[in-house]
Amino acid sequence: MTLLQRSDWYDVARDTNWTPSFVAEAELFPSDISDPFDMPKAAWAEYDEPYKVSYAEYVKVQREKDAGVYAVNTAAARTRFMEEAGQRWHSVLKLHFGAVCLAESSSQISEGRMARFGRAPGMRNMATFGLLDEIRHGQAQLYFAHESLRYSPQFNFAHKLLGTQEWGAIMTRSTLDDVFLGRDAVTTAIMLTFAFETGFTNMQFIGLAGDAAEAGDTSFSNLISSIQTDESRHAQIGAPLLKLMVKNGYKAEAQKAVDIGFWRTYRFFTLLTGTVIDYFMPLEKRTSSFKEFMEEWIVDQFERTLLDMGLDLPWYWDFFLEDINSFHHGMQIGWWLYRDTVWFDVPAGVSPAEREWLEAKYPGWNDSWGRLWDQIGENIRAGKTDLTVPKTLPVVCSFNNLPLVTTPGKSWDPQGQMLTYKGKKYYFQSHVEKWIFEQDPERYAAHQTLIDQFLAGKIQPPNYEGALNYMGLSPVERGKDAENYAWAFAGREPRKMAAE
Amino acid sequence: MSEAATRHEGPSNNMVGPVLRAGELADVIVEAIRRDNPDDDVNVIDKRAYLRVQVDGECVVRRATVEELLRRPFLMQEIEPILASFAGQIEATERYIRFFLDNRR
Repeated sequence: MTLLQRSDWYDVARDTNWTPSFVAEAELFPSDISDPFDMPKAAWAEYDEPYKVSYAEYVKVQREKDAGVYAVNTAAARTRFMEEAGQRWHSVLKLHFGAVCLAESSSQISEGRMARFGRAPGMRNMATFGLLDEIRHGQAQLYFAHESLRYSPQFNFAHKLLGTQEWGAIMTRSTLDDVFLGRDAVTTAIMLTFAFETGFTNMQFIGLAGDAAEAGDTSFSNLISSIQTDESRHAQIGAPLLKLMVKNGYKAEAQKAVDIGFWRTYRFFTLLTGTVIDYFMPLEKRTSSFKEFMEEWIVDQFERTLLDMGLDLPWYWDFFLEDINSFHHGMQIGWWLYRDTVWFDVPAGVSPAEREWLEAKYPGWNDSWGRLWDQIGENIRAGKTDLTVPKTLPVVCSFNNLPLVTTPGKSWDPQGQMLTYKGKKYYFQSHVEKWIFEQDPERYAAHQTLIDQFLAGKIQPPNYEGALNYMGLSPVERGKDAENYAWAFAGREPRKMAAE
Repeated sequence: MSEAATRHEGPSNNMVGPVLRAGELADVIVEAIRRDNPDDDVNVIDKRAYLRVQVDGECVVRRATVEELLRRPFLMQEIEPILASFAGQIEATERYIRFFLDNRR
């Protein structure tokens, strides 16, 4: 029997915008969860997904992808790579799995929302496959993380993290809730599939795959780059939507969603990808700096696509281009100083050779961030490691939950980064966070950062140890310096190392 | 003018094309792209785990060309397991995949 080509039947088969007879159209697709802009039917009729796939094709291709991922994993298990990879690489994996595994579950809900409440049949089709994709991503990464439990109980945070009040978990949940869990189908399509997936997941799932291949972790490299092939397809949900919004007079609404989604996503990946690529990766295995990855994937690739949709660059673009030189360096110091508040051992990544690399990639690093590490190194060499562990919690951004940082030696204007709303003071990392808050204060005002929870009396006893327990970190799970401070003594006369 | 201010005008490059997970099929696709875009320079950046293929403005890869190179039937969706990302917009059909820009700069 000769099968029809997909293109012979697809347009007819996908046309499922039937006229409802049991309920009104508005009840079938409530604006609040479907299309808050109430774009006309004629506009929606223009939606044409560019990356079409049938269910039969989908199943065949996905089966092939999974067969490849698990076959490589089985083969790699025989190489004893994990046993010999070293703590730094283990930390890369622990951080990735903790932040990503259950975030994939959030994406399932988002795809499900678009599959049900998308106004265009093609959008619903794409999102149905997207939902199946995200189930695959969650299951596969949990499987890989579970296999690694034998190396450290910290791998358990692949499953545990997002159910805790650990500060990184609060940050992750807050971002995911805002960008794709607590949005209507249209805004989700823009913020999740366009800003998050077309833009930033490339860096974590392809850029990091390149570094993983260099590091010899063929299994992890193969896993995450395979995942990104799904993203590459279902991320195309957003593009046709943006085009029809621009064409039909909804450019301002689309632009605002991109501007908000992009910035929230950027902060998330700065913490997740920026620190890993520039500090966690063993020096000899690095392929590019975080800034270079950003220039490849975001500045060159994403920015060009954004403009081709008929949109403009986000209004804060100049500030963004400056920020990629600095913010993640502050986050790295945060990871390291507050290492006992995270679920992996933190590599400092600032041995003399690494500092040379950082200075070459970020001219001026030694005179700014390097000065802080100078003092930390001196304290370690003097045996005063207790001085490198803060005894209190930091001031964090009321919006993005991350410690407020600014480049050492640069002027800072905190006045412009605060506001009072209904009697409460809010502090922001930058004017961009403040701008997003101002767009919808009621959406964000009640959010409680870890510090807010501390001040509200939720953390008992109200001290640092109480906070560690509140964050769900038992003593064996709390992070340490990943190399037992060896980096502070590199290139110097052998001295007794302080054990942590 | 600072670099940031220059950037705000937007990028001037019109490079489009796939980012392919490295392997035998990726090498075949790259060769097919060279054949299917004979009047264009095809730039390939090898990042070990992935190959970034760049063509100015439009990049096409045709099923018939891939079949000729593989010497076996090939379905366009067989490219998906190695298509990790792409620059530009995409048009995926049964006979070809095209990467393109609506507005060249």
